[in-house]
Amino acid sequence: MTHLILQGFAASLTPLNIGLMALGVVIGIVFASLPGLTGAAAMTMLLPLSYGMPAVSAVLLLIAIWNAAVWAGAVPAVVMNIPGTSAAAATLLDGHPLAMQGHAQRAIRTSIIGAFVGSIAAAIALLFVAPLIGNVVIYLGPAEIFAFASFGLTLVVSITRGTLAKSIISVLIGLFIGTVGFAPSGFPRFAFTPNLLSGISLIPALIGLFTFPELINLIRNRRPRIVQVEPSRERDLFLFRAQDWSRHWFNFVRSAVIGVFMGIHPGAGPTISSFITYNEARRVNKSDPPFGEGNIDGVIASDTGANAAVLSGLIPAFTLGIPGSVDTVIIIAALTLHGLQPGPTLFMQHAPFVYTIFAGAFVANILMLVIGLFAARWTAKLALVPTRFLLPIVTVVALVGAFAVNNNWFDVLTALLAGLLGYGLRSMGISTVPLLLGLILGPILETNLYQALQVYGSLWSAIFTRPIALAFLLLSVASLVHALITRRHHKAGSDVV
Amino acid sequence: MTRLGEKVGYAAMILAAAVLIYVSRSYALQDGAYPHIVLTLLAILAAVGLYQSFRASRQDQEREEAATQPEPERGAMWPVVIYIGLTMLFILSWNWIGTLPAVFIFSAILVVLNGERRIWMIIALPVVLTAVLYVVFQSILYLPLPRGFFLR
Repeated sequence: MTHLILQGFAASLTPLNIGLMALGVVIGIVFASLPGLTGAAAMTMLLPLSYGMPAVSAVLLLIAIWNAAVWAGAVPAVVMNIPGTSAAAATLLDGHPLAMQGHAQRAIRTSIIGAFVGSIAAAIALLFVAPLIGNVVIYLGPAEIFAFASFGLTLVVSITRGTLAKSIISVLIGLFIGTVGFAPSGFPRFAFTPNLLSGISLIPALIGLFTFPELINLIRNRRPRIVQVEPSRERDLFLFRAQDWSRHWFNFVRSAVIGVFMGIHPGAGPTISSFITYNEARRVNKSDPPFGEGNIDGVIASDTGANAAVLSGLIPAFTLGIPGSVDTVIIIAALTLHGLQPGPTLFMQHAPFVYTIFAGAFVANILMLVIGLFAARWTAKLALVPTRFLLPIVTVVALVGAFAVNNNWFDVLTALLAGLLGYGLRSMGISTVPLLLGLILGPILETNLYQALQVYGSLWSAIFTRPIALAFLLLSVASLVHALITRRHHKAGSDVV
Repeated sequence: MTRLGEKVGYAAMILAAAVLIYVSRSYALQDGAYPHIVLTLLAILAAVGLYQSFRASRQDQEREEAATQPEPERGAMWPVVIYIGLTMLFILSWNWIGTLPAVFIFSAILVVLNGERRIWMIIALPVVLTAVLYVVFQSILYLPLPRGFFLR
């Protein structure tokens, strides 16, 4: 394994990869800072362009965007009280009060260092935990994969915002869209035009679902009133001194560990992780000022936790082919675009590729730290870019990008229709995250169920004679029941994804 | 979204599920069972949503009568309709006038409709956007974008 890791570092440190990762970090920072846009939108827009790159470079570019975007949302949160991403909402709680007290520079530096620590912890987990899981999952059969996919879906459904029924509706729409095209038996279904024979193209659908609802929201919503805090000119050496680390190291470590676990957990992701780590820090921290009034430990906990959940989200995606979030769906889409199948066979057939990605994650983190520390001062200003410029640029790039995937005009139409569907669902209070996971997990679910039935003869013997499959199906039922009970308690439903 | 929009959304889901089940009625069991289960569950949950939406309408009415503060303001819907209509026209025009000329015209119109009045900006943004797309897609990635009827 050591030689694979060293080989991975050597392969990831080419000028092309370093250049693309640096570009990815800048794009991630820009998109997270632009109001209404997210790192996922940037990733989907660039996905078609990544087709022209080597697979390693394409995936590293997307990882760099994702990682940087999750952190960069903290900058407008601190300086302007506008979280650039949902994960930055926890940073805002103490980051903005710190900025109001004249410590914007301290809050931003702490946020980027926290993000760096979290990301490095996740990259270490990726490097050492993922291969272990990868070695185990090759022994799993279709019944187990079917059960894993079901568990992934129910977990996502159970923690998505809105009522449970709405989350299930979203996942069912995704599962249905996944049935368009050839069935596992080879029979064409719902292929009303020849363009649909190979199914709905995932990438144009992703572009539509993520870009258009955000653009329409930009048109409809008035901009929040922005209160910008100018960073003070005083020298602030926080975290440049050993004594700061001796006081706060445990918060960094605890938040990183929790974040890594939250990232591996399908459906949790950076937003939930940042709130959990923030709450945990608040629970144990009794120092002044209180949390919510500018306690630096709040910024450390939320940003470390958020970024620790980014790269660790790749563990179930790479080992099982099961994405836990929209961003991992996009990474999986990039892999399939380059002819690589995430899941048990990825580690066996493409080990050098996998280790290059894992090693590249470290390099992407270092680039994020360097560029983030350098660019933080200007990043907050991006939130002031007017909608009239954003709208044409993002619309055109998204649609031309959708065309570029297969050089097919039908894909452009798919992107627009997916966008309208996404906006309609969001307007009804239905999250599109379960839909996306249904869309990508649907074919895995059905194909493995079909294969399990072929091998074992009946659903009963396929599931009930395989203890791991049975355990995960029971866990799926348990997660749904738990979600139902907790939502009855909090009638409004949790608002987490 | 208004309660009416929500009801229309749920009704559309029920209708779509019913039509798709009807369309796929001739599929063999191994090909049709899975989508039938998915669509049936979707129709049932959409029906539940529709029922809840009707119930919530009544509660909204009671709340409105008791309310003293107005609902928070949201932008009008017509700019969204214009945006979607223009985007549709933009996509359709790719095969008539070509992608790059369509990009230039579409982005100029969007900039103007969103309130930009400086002539140089109305011209500069579409020119830069079109040039960047040309360089990235035609010169770097060698992806032929539709050229339209006139340049064929």
